[in-house]
Amino acid sequence: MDRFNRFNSGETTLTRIIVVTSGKGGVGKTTTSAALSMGLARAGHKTVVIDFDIGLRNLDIIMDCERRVVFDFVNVIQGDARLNQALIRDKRCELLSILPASQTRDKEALTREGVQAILEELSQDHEYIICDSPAGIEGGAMMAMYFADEAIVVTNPEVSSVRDSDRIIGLLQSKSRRAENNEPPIREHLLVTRYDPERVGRGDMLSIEDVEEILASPLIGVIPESESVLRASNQGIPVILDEDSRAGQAYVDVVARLTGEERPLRFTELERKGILQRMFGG
Amino acid sequence: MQPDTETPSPITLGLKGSMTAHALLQVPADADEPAATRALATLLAEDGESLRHTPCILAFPERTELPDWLPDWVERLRQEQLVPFAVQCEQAADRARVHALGLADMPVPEPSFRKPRAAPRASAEQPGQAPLVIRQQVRSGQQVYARNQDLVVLASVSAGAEVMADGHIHVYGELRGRALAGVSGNAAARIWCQSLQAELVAVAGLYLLPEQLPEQRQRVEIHLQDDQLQISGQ
Repeated sequence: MDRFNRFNSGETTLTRIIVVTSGKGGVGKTTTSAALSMGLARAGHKTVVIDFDIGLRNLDIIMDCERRVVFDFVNVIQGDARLNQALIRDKRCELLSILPASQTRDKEALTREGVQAILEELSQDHEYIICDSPAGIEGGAMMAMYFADEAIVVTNPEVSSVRDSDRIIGLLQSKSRRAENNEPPIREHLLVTRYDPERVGRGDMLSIEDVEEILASPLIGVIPESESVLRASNQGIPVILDEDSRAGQAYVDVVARLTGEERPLRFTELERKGILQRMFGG
Repeated sequence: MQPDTETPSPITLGLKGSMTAHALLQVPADADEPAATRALATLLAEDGESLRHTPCILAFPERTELPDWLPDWVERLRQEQLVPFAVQCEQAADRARVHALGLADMPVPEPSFRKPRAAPRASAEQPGQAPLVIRQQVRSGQQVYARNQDLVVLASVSAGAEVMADGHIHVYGELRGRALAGVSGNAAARIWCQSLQAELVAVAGLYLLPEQLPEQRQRVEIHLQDDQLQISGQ
């Protein structure tokens, strides 16, 4: 766990600020943010997940709390509400809070000082702060990564997504607070999502090895392509709560690896379905 | 430099080189002794306070030899409480005269209006200049330029990244992005890489695109010959 002097305040903290980022849109950043924050909280870690996608807020829908949003991230930054008024406590897991984005503002509403003040306040009583980055490399995405200690770079096994992730890793290494202060760099973890071993076998998709070789970053997990992801999103249930789904189980593995456990990769090989699996579904 | 104090024997003297401020008193080539003395009076009247007790070097630029009135002139300076300690001269005879006065000889510096330096050349022609060494992967969107030197990349260069050098470029990982050697026009610059999967390679402005690259792509060398990019490998 990181132990260092954050924000030059003289205090050491154990909070890990983790940005979930990708560059490209639609690869599964918000799904991942929701799953990991829920998984960390259920593992007993006090966690908050912040939606940095100001103007296109989604996280609250996936977390099934859109009807409970009264104040948001921008209200807190502008001083219209206190942080505690904007934080939404998850109904399924009391160690998890959500700080929703504003739907009516744009990303220019975020200031670096404001974000820093909120992260400092959250650091006082949370173990994990998950920052759900918007797509792109503009202000909102840069703000989401700026204060991070670690980054989960979400990549689909296809060329354009891998290239965008490569670009984001370059930015993590040069445009973050840690880079600007010459501190140890952001630890990046590669998360490959929507992986389909069958399509990899046919040559339609890049393999895990291809992605790892191009990005040269440590892999923290592989999430298989799964219908349960879309179903879970629409129902407002983080997919990690769907214990029957392979995507959910793969996210459980990622949470375990984030907290220091070693687990082998699952669902990355093409498997022959046994007779029982055929009868009862996979 | 002079010994500070005379000390009893077990003590060793510190001897160090040092750079100290001193005045340079220049006597024009066409001045005889009376003219130089008048000019000295004028100078002391204007700025005597800062000149007195200040170490100074005497210079007689553009003369073939030191004037024969040098000993008198040095004596006059000392009477005026100036502290001459050296004289600029080159000839052996002049140096002997200076030493006889108890002064040091100093070489005449080269004229300050030197020829403008030749434009900086690429390191390919300038052995000894350290290369720019990049240890991390050069990521998509990043640009690295080794100005007036070689570039060594110990990792891969991603697609969408660009590496440039005025000298040679070495890539020890895969070259998937763009590499431009000799960008200031050095036609002798070369590119070496372990694996050539580049989007573009160029030497001195002449470039090749992926479809023009050969099948042989492992451990290649790229250089210019007769205005053509040559790619050779093992």
